[in-house]
Amino acid sequence: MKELFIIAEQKNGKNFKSLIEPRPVCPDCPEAAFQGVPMSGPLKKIFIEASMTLQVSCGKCGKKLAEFPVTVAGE
Amino acid sequence: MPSLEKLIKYDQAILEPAAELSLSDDGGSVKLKGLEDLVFLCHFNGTSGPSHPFFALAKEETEGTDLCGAACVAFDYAVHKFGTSSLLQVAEWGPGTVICKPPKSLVFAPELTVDFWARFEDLQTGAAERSLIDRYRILPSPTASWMLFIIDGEIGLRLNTTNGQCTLQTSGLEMEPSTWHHIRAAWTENGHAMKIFLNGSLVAQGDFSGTVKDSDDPAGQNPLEIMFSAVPQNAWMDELRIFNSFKGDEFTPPDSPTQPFSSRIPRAKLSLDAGYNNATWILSELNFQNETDFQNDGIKIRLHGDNDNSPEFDGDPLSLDQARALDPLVARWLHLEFNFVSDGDTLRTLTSGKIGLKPEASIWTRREPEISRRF
Repeated sequence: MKELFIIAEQKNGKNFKSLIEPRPVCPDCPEAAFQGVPMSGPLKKIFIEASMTLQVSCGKCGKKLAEFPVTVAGE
Repeated sequence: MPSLEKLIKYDQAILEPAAELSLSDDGGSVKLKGLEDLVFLCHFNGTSGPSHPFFALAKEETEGTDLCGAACVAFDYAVHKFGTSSLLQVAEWGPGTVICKPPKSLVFAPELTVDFWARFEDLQTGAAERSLIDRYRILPSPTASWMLFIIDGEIGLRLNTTNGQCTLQTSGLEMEPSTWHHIRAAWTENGHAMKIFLNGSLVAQGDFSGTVKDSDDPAGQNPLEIMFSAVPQNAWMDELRIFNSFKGDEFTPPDSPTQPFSSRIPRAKLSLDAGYNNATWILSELNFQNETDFQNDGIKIRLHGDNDNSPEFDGDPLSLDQARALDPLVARWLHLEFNFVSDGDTLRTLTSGKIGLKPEASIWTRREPEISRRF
């Protein structure tokens, strides 16, 4: 399972893209734990523009799981 | 002598204007047409009682279907954009409203546009997504086919496609707490485009590949979820609309409730032929398969009878009961004019029916021509 994450920046009108692959799973909170609350994204994503990375952490316990590179769309 | 029954079907009916009425394939009914691509509409106008009258266009398809998990939402009669109330998800953990069997026209739709007015007491969500509306797919694994959410004052749209998930999310959006905002999300599999609008202005656009994974489980486990979020939120929603088309252009947000049906009075006209002059039409035996819309003044009738097929309707339209109280009408042709009366929000349907026709009192004996021999 992969996820294409597109960020539409309002200030400069640019789109940033990051491919989350493979989609990380929290070792402490397996995705099955989210089946009762499927509408809350199991992953939290924070775009750090300075380092052009997307920080992905567990949506339940907050544990940092992975970082993925971010690129400017169309470049 | 018992009367004969003349069936009333609408294959030959004249619809005026045809753009506002639709005839069923078998001619068995005529109904008001709704806005073509509007497949779901919730005004969230609360009333007391067990029914859920805020479902307008979708009412027909959701009626009889349970709404479930509505424990943490309520109508708010004090805060609303239009009408009498809005839908409020109170600040507790718990689900919102669930439409167990959403209209077929939005299931597997290759294009959808979802919009509504929303108001948030607090835009901060602690980096967690709050679902505003989504279509939940339980098989083969629980996930949302599509989901529109907010996260820390940003709006996101996630599609679960055959090529994986695709999430489009704004960054640096300026929304105000405790203010009504109009939010729209749209996507098309045909153009592989997804867009988000705030107050009619485009704030995000991206592309995706594949098709949106959807399913239609007969067990009804693929609901449409409205503010079904595990994250507490004080959020209000009003005037939710779903179109099964891609509306990709900037627009002016609606400043009044959407009226899916015309509030003019379209007409369906039909002529019945007894087959002989001066037939007796027994109006007290005029009835229809479903008379609901007659009884609530949604359909009214005018009648005219003649022997030369020249319909001329005059006078005020009558209720069905008033028409039934009229004396029998003596004519070869019975002309019926059905007037569809709607408040713009109510579907009217005319079903097939029948009317009594008195048999001829006597039939002339056929006389053989006399043949006289000529010598």
